[in-house]
Amino acid sequence: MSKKPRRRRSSDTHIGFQIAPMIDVVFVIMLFFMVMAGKVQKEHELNLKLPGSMAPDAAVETVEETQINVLESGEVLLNDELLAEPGDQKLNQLKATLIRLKASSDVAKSKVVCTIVADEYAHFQRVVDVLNALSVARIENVTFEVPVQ
Amino acid sequence: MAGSVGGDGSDPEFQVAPMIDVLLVLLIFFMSITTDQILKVDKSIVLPLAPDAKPRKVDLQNQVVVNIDWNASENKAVIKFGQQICEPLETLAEMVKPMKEKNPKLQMIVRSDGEAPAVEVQKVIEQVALGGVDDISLSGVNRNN
Repeated sequence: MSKKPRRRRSSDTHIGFQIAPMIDVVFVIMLFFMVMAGKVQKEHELNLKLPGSMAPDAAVETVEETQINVLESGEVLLNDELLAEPGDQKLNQLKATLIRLKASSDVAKSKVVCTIVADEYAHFQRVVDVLNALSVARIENVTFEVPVQ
Repeated sequence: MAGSVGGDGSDPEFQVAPMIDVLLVLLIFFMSITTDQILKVDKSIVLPLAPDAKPRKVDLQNQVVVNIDWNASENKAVIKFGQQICEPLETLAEMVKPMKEKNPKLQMIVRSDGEAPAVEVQKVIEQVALGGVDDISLSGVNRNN
């Protein structure tokens, strides 16, 4: 430790481009992007269709409306039947029922219209859980309402 | 990247062209990522989880965003249309209406905190509908951080 390393004379130094460290760095950057690509948080969309106006002479197509209630407690009801408890985030039972409903309406060539009726103070996350289940069942005609109490 | 090595055993040379190639690829990568996220970044809002929904199509020409930031401590929602706070909420419909008249394909993206009460989202949807917009989509994320 007492001996200081001698400095080379500048005339001896040859600064050349080193390929190996360059490839190292590029590989590390590539690995970083590959790993991060899986962790990127992407935004998803859940579409709503608001009731619109129609021409008075247009034929009226009758559809069966399904109502999903989202309670403040987190319970989810499909046509007044309890299908999910507050802790059930995946809503598997609801998903399965909706998939069957969609399949049967496709066979009958009818439209499924779903209305989500949420309690005023139900968490929005719970509404999105239901929309997510509807998205799995490929039900696209969805409206959302909050009855004022 | 590759350096050319002379057959006579001379030192490899630095090649500028492949270096520029790599840098351009990285530049394009970052440009595409930035475009994808340009509407998204508002870190104060914790979007609800919706892993099975379809990824959002980015259409900057026709999409506008309304943010619902839920402040749990004050029990109050702050609604922002772009950078503008909608206070009172009725101003939202007034702002949306001329945009819809200008662009009939206008789509409204509602980005709300997962913790916000459903009634706050409903109020915003009501105002957006009053502004004439019927194409509304709610935002969620594929995963939690």
